Amino acid sequence: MDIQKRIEGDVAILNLNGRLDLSSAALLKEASKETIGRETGKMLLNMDKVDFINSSGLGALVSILKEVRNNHGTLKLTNLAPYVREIFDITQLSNIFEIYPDEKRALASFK
Amino acid sequence: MTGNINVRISSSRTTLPLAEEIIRAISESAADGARQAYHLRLIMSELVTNAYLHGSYAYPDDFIEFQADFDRRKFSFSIINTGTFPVDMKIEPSDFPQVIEESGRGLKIVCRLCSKFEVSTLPDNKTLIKAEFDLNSQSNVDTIK
Repeated sequence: MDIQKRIEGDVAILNLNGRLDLSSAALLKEASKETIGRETGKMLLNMDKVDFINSSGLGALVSILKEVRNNHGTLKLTNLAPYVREIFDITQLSNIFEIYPDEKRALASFK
Repeated sequence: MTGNINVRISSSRTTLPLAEEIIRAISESAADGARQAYHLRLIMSELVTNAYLHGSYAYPDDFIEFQADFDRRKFSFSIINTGTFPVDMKIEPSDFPQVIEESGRGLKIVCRLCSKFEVSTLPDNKTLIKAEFDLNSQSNVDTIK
């Protein structure tokens, strides 16, 4: 998995590219941990290029969400592919993550 | 399309990305459409990941063996690994862990997607897991609410 980080206003955006599974979960958690420690606490994961996620990837996202909340921050997700979004629905994780259809609306929701 | 693929791969964690690529290729060959391919890939990925998690720590020099067998009607997947598994575990399709838990979803996702799921212990104490997916339905998940 490739992870690119950029800043829009006071929101740290991580662009994820590739599959999110057991092999890449640790990489994402590490990248998020660095961001949580340094930024304003507002984090957006753009999953536009995540073509596959399994329960290991979901577990990593839950772990990051907990970490962000423990630091009084906010985590949001955007641009989930339809099949990726379906797994969030099946596992009921769409009830605990804030998910936005595109980056523009996700960024607006932080204000 | 019909197929029968047998894979025997080291249970060292370093081979997991290769296994995932094999799984992706199998799912694209067997499925009718992208959504079904995603579901097949997810079923196999969960079971293979489970085998690595339970096998590779304790048995890094061992092997994981999996088999995919499919025709237009049915996709069957079986996997043998050294990890132990509660053979009498009952998994209800709606029985997901507390949503804030970080683990415990994998096998439940499999049960949710599959039409049949069986676990047994082999004479050498390895674990055999079998899963079936009905390729004629767009997705088994459509019928489970």
